[in-house]
Amino acid sequence: MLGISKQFGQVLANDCVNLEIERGTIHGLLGENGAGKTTLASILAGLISPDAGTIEINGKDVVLSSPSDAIKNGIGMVHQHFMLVETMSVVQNIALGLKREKWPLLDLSKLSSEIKAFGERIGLPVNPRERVSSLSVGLKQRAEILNALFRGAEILILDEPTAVLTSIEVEHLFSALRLLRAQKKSIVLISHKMSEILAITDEVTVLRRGKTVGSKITKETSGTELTEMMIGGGSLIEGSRTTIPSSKGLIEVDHLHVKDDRGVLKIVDLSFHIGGGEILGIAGVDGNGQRELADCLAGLRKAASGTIKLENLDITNRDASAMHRKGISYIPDDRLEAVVRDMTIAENFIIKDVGRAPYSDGRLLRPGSINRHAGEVVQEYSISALHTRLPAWTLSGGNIQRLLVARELRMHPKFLIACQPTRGLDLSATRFVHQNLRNLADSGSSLLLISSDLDELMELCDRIIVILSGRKTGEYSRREFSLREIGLKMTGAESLLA
Amino acid sequence: MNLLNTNLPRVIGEAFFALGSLLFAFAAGALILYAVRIDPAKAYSVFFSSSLASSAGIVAIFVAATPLIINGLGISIAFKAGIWNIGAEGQMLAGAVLAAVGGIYISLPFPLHVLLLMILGLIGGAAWAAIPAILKAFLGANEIVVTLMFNYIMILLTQYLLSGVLNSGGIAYAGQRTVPIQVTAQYPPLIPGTALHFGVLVAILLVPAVYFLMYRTVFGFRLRVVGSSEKTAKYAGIRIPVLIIMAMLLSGAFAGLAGMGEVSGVHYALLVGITSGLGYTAVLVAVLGRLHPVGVFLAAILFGCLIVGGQGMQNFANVPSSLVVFLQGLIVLIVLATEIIRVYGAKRIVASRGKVFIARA
Repeated sequence: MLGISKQFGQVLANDCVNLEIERGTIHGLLGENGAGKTTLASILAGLISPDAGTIEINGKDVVLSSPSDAIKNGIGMVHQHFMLVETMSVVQNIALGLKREKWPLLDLSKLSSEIKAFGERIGLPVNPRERVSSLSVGLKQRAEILNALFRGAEILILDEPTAVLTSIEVEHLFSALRLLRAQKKSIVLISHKMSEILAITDEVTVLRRGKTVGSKITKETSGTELTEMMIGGGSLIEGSRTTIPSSKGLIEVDHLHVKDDRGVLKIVDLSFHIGGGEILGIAGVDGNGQRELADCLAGLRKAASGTIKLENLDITNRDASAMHRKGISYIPDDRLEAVVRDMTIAENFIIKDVGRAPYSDGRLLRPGSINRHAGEVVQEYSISALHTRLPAWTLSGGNIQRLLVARELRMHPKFLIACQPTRGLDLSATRFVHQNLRNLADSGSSLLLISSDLDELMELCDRIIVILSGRKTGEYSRREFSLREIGLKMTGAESLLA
Repeated sequence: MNLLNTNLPRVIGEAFFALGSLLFAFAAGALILYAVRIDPAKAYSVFFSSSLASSAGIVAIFVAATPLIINGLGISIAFKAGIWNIGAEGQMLAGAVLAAVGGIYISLPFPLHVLLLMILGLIGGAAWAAIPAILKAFLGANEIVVTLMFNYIMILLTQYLLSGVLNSGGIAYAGQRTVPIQVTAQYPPLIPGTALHFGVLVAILLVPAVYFLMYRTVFGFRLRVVGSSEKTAKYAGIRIPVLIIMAMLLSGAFAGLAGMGEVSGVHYALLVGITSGLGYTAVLVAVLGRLHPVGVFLAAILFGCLIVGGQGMQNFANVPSSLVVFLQGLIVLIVLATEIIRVYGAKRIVASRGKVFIARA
């Protein structure tokens, strides 16, 4: 792949990216969230068309304008979220869209025995008659891989294949991948986990903010070097902030444990405090408990144990509206969770405060003050809306985020939890969010900033805590900030060096 | 606060769209009539002369539309809150049964007796909706299944009551209907000498009342948040179970009032099949009216036309009753289908706008 570019809205997801994969190798594609890995892979799999650039297979130019084009050219992709029909058997799933001699009639028993034999031959045995819903996650993935190979894939793309697997399943997957490599298949492995990349790949290409940073032979590189490539070295810290020491908005979290919906412990024994006017950053790879921590602090998820105090008052496990009344604001990472697309912009501004003056008397709305308020906020936060009485879905992504930030900041919270507040935003919207977060801190509030963008954290935060698998693995004050250090702690690459 | 107030050109555009789909539906119906050798021109002229083109026809349309308006409004409240209450049929019947009992066995002077029946109707419908509401709010039971089952229970319970304790014997159709309710319990006529009863006025007044409830109160606001996204409602700190129960009770109460209206304004008795599927038709009315009170009103009037005009075709143009039902179904289907196409078109525009979100790696 040469000079691949792809733009979504104002975001350049891939900027002149180059990727070269040799036959019979496992090629790692490494990068932070939002670095453009999935976009690049989707282009290769024919799911989206690039704006510019060329793709060559065996020295021949190809145009991949649909997934079936990609399959014809021997490219198969296994997605992060499986694309199998749960209620059907493995063989039925593979039969979907497969044109065979008897088409349009199905010959499932013949196909089934072929799949069984094929699976055993390449070292991926699966019972084709099994219903997908009764398979374990690892076997589902195996069925997906088998499906791609059965359709004649020579190049197999795996998008974060280990994210959903247990460690034993990861072992099985890796041994299967090694077998495939021995059969001269090429594999593209997308990951942001350093240990996996080092363990299984032959060569690795690092992406950062949509650009190729470089390619390395895995044996000749190290976790440290790759981490530096991934997060970018030597960016300067500028505009340092002065913290206002005060007890206002003081947040104390003590030995907090939080479980996810399945009862798995996601935050383990986490303690920290944030003073008034301070911005504390949480650095970590996505899915290491950030979401659970934020939900717990916002009253959306119960703590399994531990305490949360705001201004010396115990507020552990209060519900969301109580937290809000105490002066806690929350910008969740999924902005569509916090904004109702079908309701108007004006209504979205008051979604939490509708029961209070001046927007209502507790029972009846006051449309006059609701609309006046909306007009003011739209002005003040320069949200480009045609009209505040249009549904929120008429806004662009950046403006929906502005709406959300405006709503959460305008009530001058004592404590703000901001999760990935600039993910997917263009430069001006990002600046807007950063400026507002700084202003809030300068007015004496405490902020918790959760982000997978290290540059953002280092620019804004007074202190940074690194979490890995829900545990604190490091804490740095502003003077000690180092991309390299924090990056290593985030990916856990540090332990691999020893 | 809502689009109907602020976006006049869009409303006009949609009105044209709806009118177009109606014309298309009637054209399709004409083909069917032609195919079975009935003169479409004659059938349709009877359709209109017996419904829209005469004052008796207009009265009949409003009387027929009344239970649909009230039921449709109740259903739209539940649907707006994201609760798929399709139990209006049973809730309507529950209100009718309770109202009939109050109308037969309790004696009160005129306006008070009607008021009592209205209250009984509201209570009956709300009570019948309460059990599915609690099951949904606290146990997460699927309200579609539960409310549907409750319809069957109520229909059979009514038949049991009619042949049992409410069977006074000695009248025609004993076991099929009760004795008449007392005159003091009847809805008074709005215009003497016509079938236009007080319940029609109640239905019409409920249209602005529901609009006010949904778009001008804190309760309605929160209901719409819950209906749009439960996740967001939780995020905004709204107590969802309480709202679900309130919306269901309100929805049931409306249905009960509609049932009471059939007893007190039309039949003056409780009889088997008094609801005659109106509770299900009202689901269509609510959806076709896009869950907006004004839309529900217009959709109910459309259905009133179809019912009254259909009867006219049956009586005066010799169109078989099954074909009338067929034509009604065809018209509803086409109107709904064009509605879906319109909404789907809008969604596609949204989807292309939404790409920026989806595309993040």
